[in-house]
Amino acid sequence: MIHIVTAENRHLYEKEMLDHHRIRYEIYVRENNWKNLKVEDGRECDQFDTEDAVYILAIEDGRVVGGSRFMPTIKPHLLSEVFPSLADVRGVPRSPDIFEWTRLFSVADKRQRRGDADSVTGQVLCGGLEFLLGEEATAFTIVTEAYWLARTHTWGWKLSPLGMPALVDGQWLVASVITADFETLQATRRRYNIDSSVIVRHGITRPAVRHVA
Amino acid sequence: MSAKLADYTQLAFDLIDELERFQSPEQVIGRLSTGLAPFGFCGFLISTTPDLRAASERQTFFDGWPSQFNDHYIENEYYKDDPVVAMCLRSADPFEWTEAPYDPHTNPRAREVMEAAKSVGLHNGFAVPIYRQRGMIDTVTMGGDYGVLDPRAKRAIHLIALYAHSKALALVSAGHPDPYKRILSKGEREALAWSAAGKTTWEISVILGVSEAAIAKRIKIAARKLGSVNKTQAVVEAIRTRQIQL
Repeated sequence: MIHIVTAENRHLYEKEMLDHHRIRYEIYVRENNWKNLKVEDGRECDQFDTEDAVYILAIEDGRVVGGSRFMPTIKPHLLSEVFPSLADVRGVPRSPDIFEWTRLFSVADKRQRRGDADSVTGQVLCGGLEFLLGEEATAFTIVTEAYWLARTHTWGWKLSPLGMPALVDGQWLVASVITADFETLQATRRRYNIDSSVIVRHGITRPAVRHVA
Repeated sequence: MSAKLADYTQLAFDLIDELERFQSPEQVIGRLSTGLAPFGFCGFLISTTPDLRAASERQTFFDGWPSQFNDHYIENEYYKDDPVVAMCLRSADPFEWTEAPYDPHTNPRAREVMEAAKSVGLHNGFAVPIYRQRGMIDTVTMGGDYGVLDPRAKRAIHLIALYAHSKALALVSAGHPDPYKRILSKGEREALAWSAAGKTTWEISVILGVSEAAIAKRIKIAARKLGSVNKTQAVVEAIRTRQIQL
């Protein structure tokens, strides 16, 4: 199941959040070899891991197996602060009903079960969309490597580019804005054979944007 | 000149937004053809890049080449000597065909490929290699008879190529997890195309000069790839995803 972790209920997920930063280190620093990431004590944290960030964590039998991070676009976020040039044509969307979706991951040993209802990727995708719809978000932005566009398209997501592709550390990156609506959630659910909500909430979690605005 | 550069960006964004709304490969191929025309292109192709060492076949997602050039190309196995294919396997960046080097003396076949392209109006062109995971590469390439592509136009075409590739995969996969497993081999396409033309398995075996069992097997595998329960459904799905044409 997918747990929503905000500033308000983060104290209930201390161990899981530490594990999540360790997994991010394994994936982004060691596996993907991303440059310029801040590493502390085997954990990857960046300037956007703040009170404003909302995390979703896929937890199976107490183990973090996947997750993602959402930033309100009205706050400083990856696209606005690090890659504004990727949105040089249409500008960085900044609105209370638009989030930025970053750090989508699943642990290595859970990546083979494609298309099954227990696919971690499917759970994280559907959990993320459910979270967005619950926040009454209408869209989200993503910065991805070019080949990810094809994956998002095959999930049934509706994309619109924000700027021209740019070469960063030997990878072509693209920024897009994607519609968050029930149709997108339904398409993603169909794709992963998920037929109901995957979200669990513990503690008080008020809407993230009203909370930070 | 600057007005024209802005136009390229606008063209690309308008085209991508329109492609996004389309639900059939037919629409995407048609709109892509007209959308690329202002850049000087008269055709395009979205395909895998065959690994030359593994002697793998090139898989075509969307064929927008003029004059059945793709059939001619595959028939002659041109991909084995195509300098553009070789360049796609080692370049992370988009490039013009003229930047893909070959020596016409030591590699006369490469020259033959480029001459064959010219004969259907593809005098020059542009290729965008798209890296997938595990070292696999797809290619979006377009050709025509144009003068010079300025850098801004190249970036616009690059963006168009990325979205077109993405859209093509989504339409071919039609909700299935792996679009690449839905692409038919040349033999499977042939068998289905003859089947669509009303030929029996035995007749197809005679036409293609292979055993009846081999044809039945090809159709069975094609149906499985397309998620179809029988031959008729497989034919419909192959036509819908433009893998065969009537």
